[in-house]
Amino acid sequence: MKYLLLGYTAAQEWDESDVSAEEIARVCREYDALEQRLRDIGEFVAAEGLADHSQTVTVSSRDGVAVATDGPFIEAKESMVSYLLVDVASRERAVEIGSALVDLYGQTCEVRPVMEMDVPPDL
Amino acid sequence: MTDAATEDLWRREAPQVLGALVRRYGHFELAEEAVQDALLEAAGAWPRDGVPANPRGWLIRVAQRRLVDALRSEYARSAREDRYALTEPVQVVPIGEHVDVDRDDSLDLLLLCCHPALSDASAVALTLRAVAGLTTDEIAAAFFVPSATMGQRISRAKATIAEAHVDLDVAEAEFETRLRSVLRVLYLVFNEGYASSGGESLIRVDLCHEAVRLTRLVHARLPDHAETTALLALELLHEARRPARVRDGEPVPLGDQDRSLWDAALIAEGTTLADAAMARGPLGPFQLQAAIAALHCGAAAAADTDWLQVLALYDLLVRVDPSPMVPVSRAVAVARVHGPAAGLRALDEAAQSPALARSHRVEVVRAHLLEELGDVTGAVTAYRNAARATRSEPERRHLLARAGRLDPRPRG
Repeated sequence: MKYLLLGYTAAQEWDESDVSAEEIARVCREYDALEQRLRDIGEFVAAEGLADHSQTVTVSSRDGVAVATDGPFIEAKESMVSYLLVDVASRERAVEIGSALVDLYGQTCEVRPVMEMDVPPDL
Repeated sequence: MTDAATEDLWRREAPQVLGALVRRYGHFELAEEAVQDALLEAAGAWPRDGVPANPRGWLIRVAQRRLVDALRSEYARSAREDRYALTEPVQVVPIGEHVDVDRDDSLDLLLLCCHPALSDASAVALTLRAVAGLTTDEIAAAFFVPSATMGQRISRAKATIAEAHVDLDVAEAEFETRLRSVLRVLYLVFNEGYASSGGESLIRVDLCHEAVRLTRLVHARLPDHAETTALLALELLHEARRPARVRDGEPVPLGDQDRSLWDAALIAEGTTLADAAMARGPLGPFQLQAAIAALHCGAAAAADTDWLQVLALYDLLVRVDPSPMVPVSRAVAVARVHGPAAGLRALDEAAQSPALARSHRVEVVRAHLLEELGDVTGAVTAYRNAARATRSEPERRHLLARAGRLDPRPRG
């Protein structure tokens, strides 16, 4: 079962954090180790960190025409900063990985099931 | 010899060769590499010199030579790098002692790959790799994960087996338990393929063929084993209905399927096997499930289904199969025999199980039964609840369409 783990952080905190700090470097190292463990187990599918939310372009439909606007879709206090896609045996395991991320970053993580094209057993 | 025929020969022989080597030398990982090397060598030599009279013997000889070379260099390397290592020194057996070529090692290899120390996902991956002979890329494509992810899963499974010091000779007392995990893993492989909606890679559908092929192999070794016979029956009876279960990308419930699309030959074979399995006790989950599937397949029209028998079999199945889904399916049979209201009562009882808290299947069954009762509002709500909870995109579409057809309110 695939789950998408979306990492959120307070937008202001993200803007102001000192990325050169040893604390940040340690968190990055620990994240790398966590990602490596997921790779070793065969649960890792994909992960990326996202650029600052101010760099977002939102494309939406206006009168049936796609229009691009600078800035995020929703101006929120919480900003999406990373995603991690895993393939795991259970929802509990996905939540466990989400908890490890939260322990690491002290941020919020949304654990979202991914839809499949599978057809269920006959009713 | 054609490419397809060569491919077929390899698929058939590779697990035999691997089983023979692991039996003789252990070292699953090195043995597997040696078999790959031997297959590569055959790919070069056979088209040029012709297929040897005894292909298996040829492959075993070549693979054995490669393995012994690999073990020697491994031994030299570990002696050099890690003189005081705690690992056991690699045993190098001289080539002169030959492996028994005629012995069928595939069942032993299956027992190894479905070892209880492995997670389901690992056992499935390792079985497909080592016994079915699929490539890592093919397995990764079937499970929609990157090859690197699947490669790790497989190599970890091999490492787990190596750590567990698994013996290829399973003690007789343990054999039945181990065989059960083999059957379970084969059924997982089958279901993975059966869940394919047909739009994705063909390798997905191939999983069903591989599961059937491997189950046939176990059945050929143990023709009197009731649950093995029953699993083969169950797989064939499911497979027979495949052409009718998806229409325009949407799942079709059993009762609405076009039965003229069902494969009569598979149904005949499956039913014979299901009957043979039922004749042998004690009754296990696969025997009862196969018997239920045979009753469904034996009905010319949905209305002809012998629901009284189906319900009687479900009453037995709930006793031997702890799966929380069994009472949910039983509720459908109760509804057919005693009416939808009785079915709903049985469903409510089944839904008490905490394991079903997040299952959308309960809501799917509830929706159908409420629709039959004529409770349109309740049915629409249940279909939409089920649509929200399912992770299957085709099923979501199907459930929302059913809700839409029932909902009297204008949409928009």
